[in-house]
Amino acid sequence: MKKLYLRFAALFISATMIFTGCSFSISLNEPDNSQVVVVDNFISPDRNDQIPYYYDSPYTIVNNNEPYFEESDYTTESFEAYSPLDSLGRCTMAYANVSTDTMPTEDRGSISQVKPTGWQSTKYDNVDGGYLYNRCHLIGWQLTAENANEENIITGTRYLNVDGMLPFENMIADYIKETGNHVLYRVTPIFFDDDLVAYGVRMEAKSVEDDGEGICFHVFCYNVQPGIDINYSDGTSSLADTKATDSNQQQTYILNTNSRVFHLSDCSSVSSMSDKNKEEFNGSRDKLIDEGYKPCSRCNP
Amino acid sequence: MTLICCVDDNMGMTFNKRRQSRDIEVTNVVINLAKNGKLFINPYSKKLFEEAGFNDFIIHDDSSLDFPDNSYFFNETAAPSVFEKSADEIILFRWNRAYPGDIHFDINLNSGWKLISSKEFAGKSHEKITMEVYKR
Repeated sequence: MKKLYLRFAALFISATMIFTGCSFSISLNEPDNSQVVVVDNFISPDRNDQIPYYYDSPYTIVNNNEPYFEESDYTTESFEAYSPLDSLGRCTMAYANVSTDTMPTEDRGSISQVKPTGWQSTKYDNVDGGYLYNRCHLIGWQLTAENANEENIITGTRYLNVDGMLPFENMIADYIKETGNHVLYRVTPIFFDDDLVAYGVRMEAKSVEDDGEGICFHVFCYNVQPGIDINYSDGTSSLADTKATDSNQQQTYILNTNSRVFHLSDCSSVSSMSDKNKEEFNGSRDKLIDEGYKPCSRCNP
Repeated sequence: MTLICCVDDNMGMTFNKRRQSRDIEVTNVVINLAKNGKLFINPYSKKLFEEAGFNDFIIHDDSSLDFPDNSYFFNETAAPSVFEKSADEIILFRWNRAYPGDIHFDINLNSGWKLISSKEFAGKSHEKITMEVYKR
Protein backbone atom coordinates (compact mmCIF):
# COMPACT_ATOMS: atom_id res chain seq x y z
CA MET A 1 0.00 0.00 0.00
CA LYS A 2 1.27 3.43 -0.81
CA LYS A 3 2.23 5.56 2.10
CA LEU A 4 1.21 9.14 2.52
CA TYR A 5 3.28 11.25 4.81
CA LEU A 6 2.24 14.73 5.75
CA ARG A 7 4.28 17.27 7.49
CA PHE A 8 3.98 20.96 7.93
CA ALA A 9 6.58 23.46 6.89
CA ALA A 10 6.72 27.17 6.38
CA LEU A 11 7.51 27.36 2.71
CA PHE A 12 4.63 25.61 1.12
CA ILE A 13 0.97 26.11 0.74
CA SER A 14 -2.30 26.43 1.65
CA ALA A 15 -4.53 23.68 0.67
CA THR A 16 -6.91 22.13 3.10
CA MET A 17 -6.96 18.37 3.27
CA ILE A 18 -10.08 16.67 4.43
CA PHE A 19 -9.46 12.99 4.93
CA THR A 20 -12.42 10.80 4.28
CA GLY A 21 -11.46 7.24 4.86
CA CYS A 22 -8.56 6.59 2.56
CA SER A 23 -9.18 9.49 0.24
CA PHE A 24 -9.14 13.25 0.44
CA SER A 25 -10.44 16.37 -1.16
CA ILE A 26 -8.69 19.68 -1.54
CA SER A 27 -9.99 23.17 -1.26
CA LEU A 28 -7.65 25.53 -3.05
CA ASN A 29 -8.96 28.65 -1.49
CA GLU A 30 -8.10 28.43 2.16
CA PRO A 31 -4.70 29.96 2.82
CA ASP A 32 -2.28 29.93 5.71
CA ASN A 33 -1.52 26.26 6.25
CA SER A 34 1.81 25.28 4.86
CA GLN A 35 2.09 21.68 3.95
CA VAL A 36 4.44 19.35 2.23
CA VAL A 37 3.35 15.98 1.05
CA VAL A 38 5.81 13.17 0.61
CA VAL A 39 4.56 10.58 -1.79
CA ASP A 40 6.04 7.19 -2.47
CA ASN A 41 7.27 6.93 -6.00
CA PHE A 42 5.22 4.53 -8.05
CA ILE A 43 8.21 3.67 -10.19
CA SER A 44 10.94 3.60 -7.60
CA PRO A 45 9.46 2.89 -4.18
CA ASP A 46 12.80 3.65 -2.56
CA ARG A 47 12.46 7.34 -3.49
CA ASN A 48 10.20 9.74 -1.65
CA ASP A 49 9.87 13.02 -3.47
CA GLN A 50 8.65 16.04 -1.63
CA ILE A 51 5.86 17.58 -3.63
CA PRO A 52 4.36 20.84 -2.38
CA TYR A 53 0.65 21.33 -2.67
CA TYR A 54 -0.54 23.30 -5.65
CA TYR A 55 -0.73 27.00 -5.31
CA ASP A 56 -0.16 29.00 -8.47
CA SER A 57 1.86 27.03 -10.96
CA PRO A 58 0.47 24.06 -12.91
CA TYR A 59 3.63 22.09 -12.18
CA THR A 60 6.46 21.82 -9.70
CA ILE A 61 10.01 20.68 -10.35
CA VAL A 62 11.09 17.32 -8.93
CA ASN A 63 14.65 16.12 -8.22
CA ASN A 64 16.16 19.29 -9.72
CA ASN A 65 14.60 18.40 -13.06
CA GLU A 66 16.64 15.22 -13.35
CA PRO A 67 14.66 12.11 -14.39
CA TYR A 68 15.04 8.76 -12.66
CA PHE A 69 15.77 6.77 -15.81
CA GLU A 70 18.27 3.97 -15.60
CA GLU A 71 21.36 4.21 -17.77
CA SER A 72 20.31 1.01 -19.51
CA ASP A 73 17.09 2.73 -20.64
CA TYR A 74 18.91 5.03 -23.02
CA THR A 75 18.66 3.65 -26.50
CA THR A 76 18.12 4.89 -30.01
CA GLU A 77 15.47 2.21 -30.55
CA SER A 78 11.97 3.66 -30.37
CA PHE A 79 9.54 1.94 -28.01
CA GLU A 80 6.24 2.44 -26.24
CA ALA A 81 5.04 0.65 -23.10
CA TYR A 82 1.74 1.09 -21.33
CA SER A 83 1.48 -0.64 -17.98
CA PRO A 84 -1.69 -2.60 -17.19
CA LEU A 85 -4.50 -1.02 -15.21
CA ASP A 86 -4.37 -1.75 -11.48
CA SER A 87 -7.04 -3.63 -9.54
CA LEU A 88 -9.18 -0.48 -9.36
CA GLY A 89 -8.96 0.04 -13.10
CA ARG A 90 -6.54 2.95 -12.84
CA CYS A 91 -3.71 3.76 -15.21
CA THR A 92 -0.30 3.06 -13.76
CA MET A 93 2.41 4.28 -16.13
CA ALA A 94 3.26 5.05 -19.74
CA TYR A 95 6.83 4.94 -20.95
CA ALA A 96 8.23 5.57 -24.41
CA ASN A 97 11.33 6.39 -26.34
CA VAL A 98 9.67 8.97 -28.55
CA SER A 99 10.90 9.73 -32.03
CA THR A 100 9.60 10.54 -35.47
CA ASP A 101 8.89 6.79 -35.71
CA THR A 102 6.27 6.99 -32.96
CA MET A 103 4.63 10.25 -33.95
CA PRO A 104 1.25 10.34 -35.73
CA THR A 105 0.96 10.07 -39.48
CA GLU A 106 -2.81 10.34 -39.67
CA ASP A 107 -5.64 12.28 -38.06
CA ARG A 108 -6.67 11.56 -34.52
CA GLY A 109 -9.84 9.53 -33.91
CA SER A 110 -12.47 9.72 -31.20
CA ILE A 111 -11.65 8.72 -27.63
CA SER A 112 -15.11 9.25 -26.18
CA GLN A 113 -15.60 5.52 -25.67
CA VAL A 114 -12.92 5.47 -22.96
CA LYS A 115 -14.21 6.09 -19.43
CA PRO A 116 -11.22 6.44 -17.12
CA THR A 117 -11.68 6.01 -13.37
CA GLY A 118 -13.35 8.93 -11.64
CA TRP A 119 -14.92 10.17 -14.85
CA GLN A 120 -17.70 12.51 -13.69
CA SER A 121 -18.18 14.89 -16.54
CA THR A 122 -19.33 18.27 -15.25
CA LYS A 123 -19.58 21.69 -16.87
CA TYR A 124 -18.59 24.95 -15.22
CA ASP A 125 -18.72 28.50 -16.54
CA ASN A 126 -15.29 29.27 -15.10
CA VAL A 127 -13.50 26.42 -16.88
CA ASP A 128 -11.99 27.05 -20.28
CA GLY A 129 -14.01 24.97 -22.74
CA GLY A 130 -16.71 24.38 -20.14
CA TYR A 131 -15.97 20.81 -19.08
CA LEU A 132 -13.95 20.23 -15.93
CA TYR A 133 -12.49 16.95 -17.10
CA ASN A 134 -10.67 15.91 -20.23
CA ARG A 135 -9.75 12.40 -21.22
CA CYS A 136 -6.15 13.12 -20.58
CA HIS A 137 -3.49 11.09 -22.38
CA LEU A 138 -0.51 10.18 -20.27
CA ILE A 139 1.67 10.27 -23.35
CA GLY A 140 0.10 12.80 -25.68
CA TRP A 141 -1.29 11.92 -29.06
CA GLN A 142 1.24 14.14 -30.80
CA LEU A 143 4.10 12.01 -29.44
CA THR A 144 3.05 8.38 -29.86
CA ALA A 145 -0.26 8.52 -31.76
CA GLU A 146 -1.73 6.32 -29.03
CA ASN A 147 -5.34 7.34 -29.02
CA ALA A 148 -8.14 5.35 -27.37
CA ASN A 149 -5.87 3.20 -25.22
CA GLU A 150 -7.41 2.92 -21.74
CA GLU A 151 -3.94 2.28 -20.31
CA ASN A 152 -2.92 5.73 -21.48
CA ILE A 153 -5.91 7.87 -20.47
CA ILE A 154 -6.80 9.31 -17.08
CA THR A 155 -9.44 11.70 -15.81
CA GLY A 156 -7.60 14.99 -15.95
CA THR A 157 -8.75 18.54 -15.44
CA ARG A 158 -8.69 20.99 -18.30
CA TYR A 159 -5.98 22.82 -16.36
CA LEU A 160 -3.83 19.70 -16.07
CA ASN A 161 -4.24 18.90 -19.73
CA VAL A 162 -3.72 22.34 -21.26
CA ASP A 163 -1.66 24.32 -18.75
CA GLY A 164 0.19 21.46 -17.10
CA MET A 165 1.05 18.70 -19.53
CA LEU A 166 0.63 20.14 -23.02
CA PRO A 167 3.52 22.65 -22.87
CA PHE A 168 5.95 19.85 -21.98
CA GLU A 169 4.58 17.65 -24.74
CA ASN A 170 4.93 20.53 -27.21
CA MET A 171 8.54 21.03 -26.19
CA ILE A 172 9.36 17.37 -26.79
CA ALA A 173 7.44 17.15 -30.07
CA ASP A 174 9.06 20.23 -31.60
CA TYR A 175 12.52 19.17 -30.47
CA ILE A 176 12.10 15.77 -32.14
CA LYS A 177 10.75 17.31 -35.35
CA GLU A 178 13.70 19.68 -35.46
CA THR A 179 16.51 17.29 -34.58
CA GLY A 180 15.26 13.81 -35.44
CA ASN A 181 16.55 12.69 -32.04
CA HIS A 182 14.87 10.40 -29.50
CA VAL A 183 13.43 11.51 -26.17
CA LEU A 184 12.97 9.07 -23.32
CA TYR A 185 9.65 10.01 -21.76
CA ARG A 186 7.71 8.56 -18.85
CA VAL A 187 4.43 9.70 -17.34
CA THR A 188 3.19 8.26 -14.06
CA PRO A 189 -0.13 9.22 -12.49
CA ILE A 190 0.00 9.61 -8.72
CA PHE A 191 -3.06 8.35 -6.86
CA PHE A 192 -3.47 8.48 -3.12
CA ASP A 193 -4.70 5.21 -1.68
CA ASP A 194 -7.93 4.13 -3.37
CA ASP A 195 -8.76 7.44 -5.02
CA LEU A 196 -10.13 7.15 -8.52
CA VAL A 197 -8.78 10.50 -9.69
CA ALA A 198 -5.05 11.11 -9.72
CA TYR A 199 -3.70 14.03 -7.74
CA GLY A 200 -1.30 14.67 -10.58
CA VAL A 201 1.21 13.14 -12.93
CA ARG A 202 4.96 12.77 -12.72
CA MET A 203 6.56 13.62 -16.07
CA GLU A 204 10.17 12.72 -16.82
CA ALA A 205 11.98 13.31 -20.10
CA LYS A 206 15.52 13.36 -21.42
CA SER A 207 16.80 13.56 -24.96
CA VAL A 208 18.95 10.58 -25.86
CA GLU A 209 21.43 11.43 -28.60
CA ASP A 210 22.62 14.66 -26.93
CA ASP A 211 22.41 13.32 -23.35
CA GLY A 212 19.76 15.79 -22.25
CA GLU A 213 21.28 18.88 -23.81
CA GLY A 214 18.05 19.54 -25.70
CA ILE A 215 15.39 18.13 -23.38
CA CYS A 216 15.71 17.36 -19.69
CA PHE A 217 12.97 17.72 -17.12
CA HIS A 218 11.30 16.03 -14.21
CA VAL A 219 8.12 17.68 -13.00
CA PHE A 220 4.89 16.95 -11.21
CA CYS A 221 1.79 18.43 -12.86
CA TYR A 222 -1.19 19.01 -10.61
CA ASN A 223 -4.58 17.57 -11.49
CA VAL A 224 -6.42 20.57 -10.10
CA GLN A 225 -8.71 23.20 -11.54
CA PRO A 226 -8.56 26.72 -10.09
CA GLY A 227 -11.98 27.71 -8.82
CA ILE A 228 -13.20 24.10 -8.51
CA ASP A 229 -13.00 21.72 -5.55
CA ILE A 230 -12.45 18.10 -6.51
CA ASN A 231 -13.17 15.00 -4.47
CA TYR A 232 -10.38 12.72 -5.64
CA SER A 233 -12.02 9.61 -4.23
CA ASP A 234 -14.74 9.55 -6.89
CA GLY A 235 -14.25 12.55 -9.19
CA THR A 236 -17.22 14.55 -7.95
CA SER A 237 -16.65 18.28 -7.86
CA SER A 238 -18.17 21.59 -6.83
CA LEU A 239 -17.64 25.26 -7.40
CA ALA A 240 -15.14 26.68 -4.92
CA ASP A 241 -15.96 29.78 -2.96
CA THR A 242 -14.74 32.67 -5.03
CA LYS A 243 -14.81 36.38 -4.58
CA ALA A 244 -17.29 38.04 -6.91
CA THR A 245 -15.49 40.69 -8.93
CA ASP A 246 -16.29 42.73 -11.95
CA SER A 247 -13.69 41.59 -14.45
CA ASN A 248 -13.56 45.06 -16.02
CA GLN A 249 -13.15 46.86 -12.73
CA GLN A 250 -9.94 48.88 -12.50
CA GLN A 251 -7.88 47.92 -9.50
CA THR A 252 -4.36 47.23 -8.35
CA TYR A 253 -2.92 43.76 -8.81
CA ILE A 254 0.52 42.38 -8.10
CA LEU A 255 2.05 40.47 -10.98
CA ASN A 256 4.57 37.69 -10.79
CA THR A 257 6.25 38.33 -14.14
CA ASN A 258 8.05 35.00 -13.95
CA SER A 259 5.16 32.64 -13.22
CA ARG A 260 2.72 34.93 -15.09
CA VAL A 261 0.26 34.82 -12.21
CA PHE A 262 -1.52 37.86 -10.79
CA HIS A 263 -2.51 38.41 -7.19
CA LEU A 264 -4.49 40.76 -5.00
CA SER A 265 -2.26 43.22 -3.14
CA ASP A 266 -2.94 41.54 0.19
CA CYS A 267 -2.39 37.99 -1.04
CA SER A 268 -0.06 36.08 1.26
CA SER A 269 1.87 34.88 -1.79
CA VAL A 270 3.04 38.41 -2.53
CA SER A 271 5.32 38.62 0.51
CA SER A 272 7.25 35.55 -0.58
CA MET A 273 7.60 36.75 -4.17
CA SER A 274 11.05 37.70 -5.39
CA ASP A 275 11.35 41.46 -5.93
CA LYS A 276 12.75 40.99 -9.41
CA ASN A 277 9.60 39.13 -10.44
CA LYS A 278 7.18 41.49 -8.72
CA GLU A 279 5.35 44.22 -10.63
CA GLU A 280 2.39 46.38 -9.68
CA PHE A 281 -0.39 46.66 -12.24
CA ASN A 282 -3.32 49.06 -12.25
CA GLY A 283 -6.08 47.98 -14.59
CA SER A 284 -8.69 45.35 -15.23
CA ARG A 285 -8.66 41.62 -14.64
CA ASP A 286 -9.73 41.11 -18.25
CA LYS A 287 -6.66 42.92 -19.54
CA LEU A 288 -4.35 40.70 -17.52
CA ILE A 289 -6.12 37.56 -18.75
CA ASP A 290 -5.75 38.87 -22.32
CA GLU A 291 -2.03 39.32 -21.71
CA GLY A 292 -1.71 35.69 -20.70
CA TYR A 293 -1.68 36.10 -16.93
CA LYS A 294 -3.55 33.62 -14.76
CA PRO A 295 -5.31 34.39 -11.48
CA CYS A 296 -3.77 33.12 -8.27
CA SER A 297 -5.87 30.29 -6.90
CA ARG A 298 -5.00 31.36 -3.39
CA CYS A 299 -6.51 34.85 -3.42
CA ASN A 300 -8.80 34.41 -6.45
CA PRO A 301 -8.33 37.91 -7.85
CA MET B 1 21.96 47.25 -31.19
CA THR B 2 19.15 45.03 -32.38
CA LEU B 3 18.07 42.66 -29.65
CA ILE B 4 16.73 39.33 -30.94
CA CYS B 5 14.77 36.87 -28.79
CA CYS B 6 12.50 33.88 -29.29
CA VAL B 7 9.39 33.53 -27.14
CA ASP B 8 6.45 31.19 -26.63
CA ASP B 9 2.81 32.12 -26.03
CA ASN B 10 3.65 33.14 -22.46
CA MET B 11 6.72 35.17 -23.41
CA GLY B 12 8.93 32.39 -22.08
CA MET B 13 12.45 31.90 -23.38
CA THR B 14 14.08 29.04 -21.48
CA PHE B 15 13.22 26.15 -19.21
CA ASN B 16 15.77 24.36 -17.02
CA LYS B 17 18.71 26.22 -18.60
CA ARG B 18 17.67 25.11 -22.07
CA ARG B 19 16.02 27.02 -24.88
CA GLN B 20 12.32 26.28 -25.12
CA SER B 21 12.57 25.54 -28.80
CA ARG B 22 14.65 26.00 -31.91
CA ASP B 23 14.09 26.08 -35.63
CA ILE B 24 16.69 26.17 -38.37
CA GLU B 25 14.57 28.65 -40.31
CA VAL B 26 14.87 31.16 -37.47
CA THR B 27 18.60 30.55 -37.22
CA ASN B 28 18.93 31.22 -40.93
CA VAL B 29 16.98 34.47 -40.68
CA VAL B 30 19.28 35.63 -37.90
CA ILE B 31 22.35 34.66 -39.93
CA ASN B 32 21.03 36.70 -42.86
CA LEU B 33 20.40 39.69 -40.60
CA ALA B 34 23.93 39.46 -39.31
CA LYS B 35 25.28 40.12 -42.78
CA ASN B 36 24.38 43.75 -42.10
CA GLY B 37 26.58 43.98 -39.02
CA LYS B 38 28.13 42.01 -36.19
CA LEU B 39 26.30 39.17 -34.49
CA PHE B 40 26.67 38.74 -30.74
CA ILE B 41 25.36 35.57 -29.08
CA ASN B 42 25.25 33.94 -25.66
CA PRO B 43 27.84 31.21 -25.07
CA TYR B 44 24.92 28.77 -25.02
CA SER B 45 24.01 29.65 -28.62
CA LYS B 46 27.44 28.85 -30.07
CA LYS B 47 26.59 25.29 -31.05
CA LEU B 48 23.29 26.35 -32.61
CA PHE B 49 25.05 28.56 -35.14
CA GLU B 50 27.96 26.20 -35.69
CA GLU B 51 25.52 23.44 -36.56
CA ALA B 52 24.02 25.83 -39.13
CA GLY B 53 27.51 26.27 -40.61
CA PHE B 54 27.94 29.82 -39.37
CA ASN B 55 30.93 30.89 -37.30
CA ASP B 56 31.11 34.65 -37.79
CA PHE B 57 29.79 35.60 -34.38
CA ILE B 58 31.08 37.14 -31.17
CA ILE B 59 30.37 35.48 -27.84
CA HIS B 60 28.83 37.97 -25.47
CA ASP B 61 30.19 37.15 -22.04
CA ASP B 62 27.75 39.36 -20.11
CA SER B 63 30.62 41.46 -18.73
CA SER B 64 29.68 44.49 -20.82
CA LEU B 65 26.48 46.03 -22.05
CA ASP B 66 28.28 47.95 -24.79
CA PHE B 67 27.54 47.00 -28.35
CA PRO B 68 28.95 48.65 -31.48
CA ASP B 69 26.75 50.25 -34.10
CA ASN B 70 25.09 47.85 -36.54
CA SER B 71 25.26 45.00 -34.10
CA TYR B 72 22.74 42.25 -33.48
CA PHE B 73 22.44 40.40 -30.19
CA PHE B 74 20.73 37.01 -30.34
CA ASN B 75 19.90 36.49 -26.69
CA GLU B 76 18.55 33.11 -25.68
CA THR B 77 19.44 32.72 -22.03
CA ALA B 78 19.25 36.02 -20.14
CA ALA B 79 16.18 37.96 -19.10
CA PRO B 80 16.53 40.72 -21.70
CA SER B 81 15.49 43.81 -19.74
CA VAL B 82 19.10 44.40 -18.71
CA PHE B 83 19.90 45.01 -22.38
CA GLU B 84 16.92 47.23 -23.12
CA LYS B 85 18.85 50.49 -22.79
CA SER B 86 21.39 49.32 -25.33
CA ALA B 87 18.75 48.33 -27.87
CA ASP B 88 17.27 50.60 -30.51
CA GLU B 89 15.41 47.74 -32.15
CA ILE B 90 13.90 44.49 -30.93
CA ILE B 91 13.13 41.48 -33.10
CA LEU B 92 10.88 38.84 -31.57
CA PHE B 93 10.36 35.42 -33.03
CA ARG B 94 7.15 33.94 -31.68
CA TRP B 95 6.84 30.17 -31.77
CA ASN B 96 3.05 30.36 -31.46
CA ARG B 97 3.19 27.43 -29.09
CA ALA B 98 3.09 27.09 -25.30
CA TYR B 99 6.12 25.61 -23.58
CA PRO B 100 7.19 25.52 -19.94
CA GLY B 101 9.26 28.56 -19.06
CA ASP B 102 11.39 29.88 -16.21
CA ILE B 103 13.12 32.85 -17.84
CA HIS B 104 10.79 35.22 -19.63
CA PHE B 105 11.06 38.14 -21.98
CA ASP B 106 10.71 40.91 -19.42
CA ILE B 107 10.71 44.08 -21.54
CA ASN B 108 7.38 45.86 -21.64
CA LEU B 109 6.80 46.35 -25.37
CA ASN B 110 3.81 48.58 -24.62
CA SER B 111 6.09 51.16 -23.08
CA GLY B 112 8.37 53.07 -25.42
CA TRP B 113 8.32 50.52 -28.23
CA LYS B 114 6.30 50.49 -31.42
CA LEU B 115 5.54 47.48 -33.60
CA ILE B 116 6.93 48.29 -37.05
CA SER B 117 6.35 45.05 -38.90
CA SER B 118 5.07 41.53 -38.44
CA LYS B 119 5.35 38.60 -40.79
CA GLU B 120 4.68 34.90 -40.56
CA PHE B 121 6.62 32.04 -42.02
CA ALA B 122 6.73 28.27 -41.66
CA GLY B 123 9.66 26.70 -39.87
CA LYS B 124 11.11 23.24 -40.08
CA SER B 125 9.45 22.13 -36.85
CA HIS B 126 6.95 24.92 -36.29
CA GLU B 127 3.87 25.45 -38.43
CA LYS B 128 3.83 29.20 -37.97
CA ILE B 129 6.56 31.45 -36.66
CA THR B 130 5.86 35.17 -36.34
CA MET B 131 8.68 37.66 -36.71
CA GLU B 132 7.94 41.02 -35.13
CA VAL B 133 10.12 44.12 -35.38
CA TYR B 134 9.85 46.84 -32.75
CA LYS B 135 11.52 50.25 -32.74
CA ARG B 136 11.62 53.01 -30.17
